This record gives sequence, C-alpha cells and structure tokens, in this order.
Amino acid sequence: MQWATVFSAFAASLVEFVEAFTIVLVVGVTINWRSSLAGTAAALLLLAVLVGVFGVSLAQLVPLDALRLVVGTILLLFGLKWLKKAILRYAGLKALHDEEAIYEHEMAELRAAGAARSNTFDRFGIAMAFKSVLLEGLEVAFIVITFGVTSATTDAQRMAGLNAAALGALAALVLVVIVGAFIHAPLRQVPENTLKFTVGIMLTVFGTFWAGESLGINWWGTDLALLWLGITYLLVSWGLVTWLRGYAKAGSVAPPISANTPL
Amino acid sequence: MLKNALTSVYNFLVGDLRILIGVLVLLPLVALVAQWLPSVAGLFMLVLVIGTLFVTLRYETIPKRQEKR
Repeated sequence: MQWATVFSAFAASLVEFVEAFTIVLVVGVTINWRSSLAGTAAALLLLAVLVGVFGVSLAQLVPLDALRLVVGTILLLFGLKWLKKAILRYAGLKALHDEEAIYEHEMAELRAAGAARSNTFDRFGIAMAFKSVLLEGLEVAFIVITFGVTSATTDAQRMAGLNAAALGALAALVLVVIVGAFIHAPLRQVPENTLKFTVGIMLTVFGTFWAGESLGINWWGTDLALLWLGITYLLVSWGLVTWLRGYAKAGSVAPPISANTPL
Repeated sequence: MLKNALTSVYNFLVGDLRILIGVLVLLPLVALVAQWLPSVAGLFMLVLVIGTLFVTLRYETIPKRQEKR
C-alpha cells in the first residue's frame, strides 16, 4: 500500500469534503433534509457518470476554473442576498420571522393540503447542495487522479496509486460524515435568523473564495483564507448592523410578519 | 410566458438588482487586478464585495424603499 498517497489524498480530500458537507448541512438544517439530500444525490449521480465515462482523463476534460467561476458567482449572489436580509432583520429594518407562529401557520396549510413539511422539495436547497457537492466532488476526483498517477511509471503502479488515493479520499468522507452526524442536532436549536445570517456569511465566503480562485487570486493562507474571509465578513456585518440600527431608531417601522416572506 | 420564466429565474438567482450589478462589475475588475497586481487582488475583491453589500443596504434605508418593503 502506498501510504504516502493515502495520507496526502486523505488530507487534501478532507478540506474539500468539509466545504461540501458544510453547505449540505446548512441546507438540511435551514431548508429541509429532503432537498439537501436530493441535491447531493443528483450531484453524486452526475459525478459517478462523469468518472465512469471519462475515467482518469476527467482531470484534463473538465475546466475546473470555469466551474469555480460559475459556482462561485452564484454562491456570491445567494450569499449577499441572504446576508442583506439577515442584517436588515438584526438592525430592526425588517421584521424577524416569528418562527413558532410561521411554523404553525405552515403546518396548518400543509395539513390542509395533505402534505407534511418535510416532504416538500425546495429548488433553492436542491440547487445549493447540488452545485457544492458537484464542485467539491470534482475536486476530490481530481485529487485522487492527480495523487494516484503522479509518480506512477507502470500501469500496475498507476492502479495501486489510484486505489491508495481513493482509499484516502474515502476515509476523509467517512470522517466528515461521522462528525457531521454529531453536530447537526445541536444546530437545530440555533434561532432562525442567526442560522440564516451564518449561512449568508458562509455562502459569501465560499463564493468569494471560489470566484476569486478562478480569476487568478492566490488567497493568502490558501484554504485558511476561508477562515479569515469569514471573520472579516462577520466583523463587517456586525458594523453594518450597528450602523443600520440608527436608521431603525429614527422611526422606520418593520413590516408585518408574513409566512410567505422569502428567507 | 418567457417573461414569467425569466422573472422566475431572476428572482431565484438574484432578486436584487444592485447585488447582481455589483457582482457582475466586480468580477472583471478583479480579473484585471489579479493579472497586473496579484498580491492585492484578494484584498481588492474583498473590498468590492463589502462595497456591494454596503450600497445594497444603504439603498434599503431610503424612506421610499422602506415604505415599499
């Protein structure tokens, strides 16, 4: 067994799986697990088809930078939209959702329609999970291919290298899923606007990071940039909330709560 | 029908014209800066994203906009 390849692929894939799983997790907690898992399953299916059809030539065929740019731009658009609304709510310029009242209202409507809340697919949730899993899954596939075949000189070495890299990636996936299973329950206790604010920050961070990478930015600290970008956006958002509270105190009235208000 | 479909796609993807314009303007600018001054491109992008958010929020504080909302 090529243990160096196993560990290298494990470490590199772990970062990618954490990024994908974070978005799957927040979509599951904030929207619903059905949509999150549907998007994930669709992306995994497409990935399996791509890997099955193209094999190791996939790394040359898929323009990863173009994909990063598209996904990054869309995440940036979604992230800024979520963040804007969450900041307006914290500042008092937009009504906070009365979560319990809205939940009861939605449940009553769904009961009347004969459906359960968990059974409704949400296209936003599906799209978010799909894009993130597809992008990160492709990156993992590239890691496995690159790490697996880089030092191989014969077909047998190449096969052994690919197996070792795939094993490392699989171990990383298992670790991320196990850790995620433990942390998703406490996340459900977090208030709705706090979660949406956090998701807005995260989508903006990932969007900035991926779109920036595709445009040729070498982020300081490479993947660690996700952390300092997040801290920066968090501090800026806190400042914006403080600034906007002045406008709220100056006499603006928040609109009435509506169960149909998006976000 | 086409208009409805396009409106639906726009609302789904963006829903806010200022954010769309901000992002579409910042991307080519960042690409340009990344080519000539790669060491500051990251910081430049960060400032533009924050600027887009600031302008969008500033617009929300205009009284007419608040009445509409």
